[in-house]
Amino acid sequence: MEVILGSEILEGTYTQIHSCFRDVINFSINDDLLISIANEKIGGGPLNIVIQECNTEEIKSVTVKSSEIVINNSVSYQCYRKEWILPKLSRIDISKLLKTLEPVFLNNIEQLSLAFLIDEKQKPIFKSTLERAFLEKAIHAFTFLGEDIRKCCRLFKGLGFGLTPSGDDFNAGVLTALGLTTLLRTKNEDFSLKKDIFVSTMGKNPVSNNTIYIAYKGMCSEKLFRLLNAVKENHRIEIELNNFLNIGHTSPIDFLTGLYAYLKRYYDN
Amino acid sequence: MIIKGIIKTGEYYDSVSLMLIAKELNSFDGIADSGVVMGTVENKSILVSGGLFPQEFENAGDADLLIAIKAENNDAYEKAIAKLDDLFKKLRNKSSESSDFVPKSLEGALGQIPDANLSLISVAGKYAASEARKALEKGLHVMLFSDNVSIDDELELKKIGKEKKLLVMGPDCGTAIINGVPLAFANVVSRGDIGIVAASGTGLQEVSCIIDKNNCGVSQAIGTGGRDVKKDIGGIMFLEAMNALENDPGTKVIVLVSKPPHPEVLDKITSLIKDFSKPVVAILIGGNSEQIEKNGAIAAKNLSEAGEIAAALSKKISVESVTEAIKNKNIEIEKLGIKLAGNSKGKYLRGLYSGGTLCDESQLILKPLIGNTYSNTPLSPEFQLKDLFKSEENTIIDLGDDDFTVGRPHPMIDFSLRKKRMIEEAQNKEVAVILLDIVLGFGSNLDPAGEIVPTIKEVLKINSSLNIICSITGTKNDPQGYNAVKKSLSDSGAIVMDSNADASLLAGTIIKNIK
Repeated sequence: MEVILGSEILEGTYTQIHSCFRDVINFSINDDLLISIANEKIGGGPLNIVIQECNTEEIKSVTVKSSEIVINNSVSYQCYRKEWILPKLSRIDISKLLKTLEPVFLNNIEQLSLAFLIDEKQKPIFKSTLERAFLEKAIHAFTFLGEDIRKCCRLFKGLGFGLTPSGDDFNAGVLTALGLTTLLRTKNEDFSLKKDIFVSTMGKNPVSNNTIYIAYKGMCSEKLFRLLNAVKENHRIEIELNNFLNIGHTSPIDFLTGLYAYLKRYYDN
Repeated sequence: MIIKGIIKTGEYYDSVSLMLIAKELNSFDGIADSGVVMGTVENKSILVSGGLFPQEFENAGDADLLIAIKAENNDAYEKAIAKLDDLFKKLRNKSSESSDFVPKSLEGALGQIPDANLSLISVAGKYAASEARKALEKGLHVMLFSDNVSIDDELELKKIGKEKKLLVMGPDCGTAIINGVPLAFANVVSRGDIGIVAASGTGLQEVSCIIDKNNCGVSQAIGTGGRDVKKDIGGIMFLEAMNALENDPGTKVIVLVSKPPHPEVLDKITSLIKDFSKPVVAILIGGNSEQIEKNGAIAAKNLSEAGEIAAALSKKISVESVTEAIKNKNIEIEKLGIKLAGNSKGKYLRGLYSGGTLCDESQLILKPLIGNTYSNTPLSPEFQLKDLFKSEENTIIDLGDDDFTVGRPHPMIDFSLRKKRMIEEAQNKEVAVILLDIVLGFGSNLDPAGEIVPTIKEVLKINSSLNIICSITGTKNDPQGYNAVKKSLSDSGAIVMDSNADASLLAGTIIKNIK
């Protein structure tokens, strides 16, 4: 059975279960970050261990060695490490990516996500007092995208519904956009920009922190990696986009909102 | 009103569960408002803005789950909390509730049901072919719901199926009824002696429902997937299915449903028909029916007619009497259309479809009445919509096409895209008719009337002279309840027709006669 180990997972034994869901179980590394044992539906990532058809409920501990993992001190799997580094995009790639992502926001309806920041017609979905308060906060934060991206991300931190608040996914999207455009930027200021955003957006929710950390390190999940390469190579774009959007609830859309908004603002000619 | 809350520390629930909890809370008696969010600084501030911040939330942290409740009184609050506790318990125990073994492989499943003889496969395309191959090797018929299977794989699988005398329905086969059992998207149709072979999902559904409406029933309804009748696949399964029905003692009438097959495939089909002992009705949507008729089959003009003719043959009623009745019915529909045109403003039609075959059929029926229609799946390439989200003149859209289903469920399940589009179209004063298909049955939205009626009412509020015309593909025994759905739609102001063909004829007649 194929077992894939993310590049950022250190050798050792992990026993502190943070949370357990149908497709993934999370172990705490420390207060800030997690490693995840996931099935192929979730897919790989720098902090993921992918085991086909894994039954998350039965997993109580995992020991990571150089080319082997051991579950519950008893079942051992051969594994290999894999890295998913963000590809560097050219301006043409960015144009293609923006064109690919645009219809996603128009198709997203009746989900309390940040897609309304791209498609205003979705604002009426937010009906309750709380939902309207979220809407206003998000709009306010978004106004700073052009003039003060650091402030924009600070205001988005921890904002919104879901286990990973929408704003955290948005910030991970912005950090990812910064990683994708490394070759296109020239100002020194931009290298501190990424670090500033990272420092100000890491919080006490390790599930959110994982996505922000990975984005800051210039890496990404397997599903995002496949999507970005599909766009670069003009091959299987729809399939990979669907695969990416099908993980989680609004997290993919919120992430793509941050990614799209940043690229559109700064790199769309 | 009181505002209170609970903090859950160290308990984590996925976002969908949190959304469901929030939805449930708001439905409890005596609860005016609520919020379910993680305890971040920003979320606490939106709770404050929303008037939902009890004092106890002050020291909550990022990783705490906050549940804020605004209740009419303490009693309502306590009742809500008790129900909420049950809900959380269910969520925590969800995966360990049942100790039943859930198989994770075909072998495991066969271990549980050793005499299973059909495998319905719905996995990502890249895995589907190998799963289908395994199933065939174990002697199972296969229904391949999955798409994104290569043509080479499809051809190989169907050759294996033919050799082993096993059905390979699909890929991209969404509908079948085998031995009276509806599979995937299918309707609850009476059992009878009419067999259907279909290279079209909603085509199969429409025909089988019309058969049921005419108090007849279906012996078997075999889907083949749309590609089967193309040159590459050569109609392998279509022909096998035809032969199976010809040899099935429970089948007395055979109906063939497809878009136009490749000419070589059509030759094979008609060659078979010639030697059949049972009557054959064929509907090739958009195809030339001459060859079919020359070889002894009855060519129907549309899906509804195919169902009615098949029912007539089953009941041993003269086909001519049925076609005559259809002609008279069409005259009445045209009269109604002319009358409605007199009260209509605007000049354009907008069709918003969930079924691809129904969308195609509608365009064909409308063509002689109002000319070509713009579409994302047009009859002629020059009528391809430039922007899928902006209608032009007379437009009919297949919302089930890939462009609209990226990252979202099929429009037969999720109406939200269609509802949004209805509102947009209603705001355009040039629109006179909105045409919709409502498809019932297993797999489809369980409350289509509940979903779409508020939008119909809103549309008519925006433009009271708009004609909203619906057809319902369904039967009285479908889970949604055909009669209840029809009544709700009619009460909301929509005009409900018995078939897509009737609805399209009515819509086209209105547009044609508007002055």
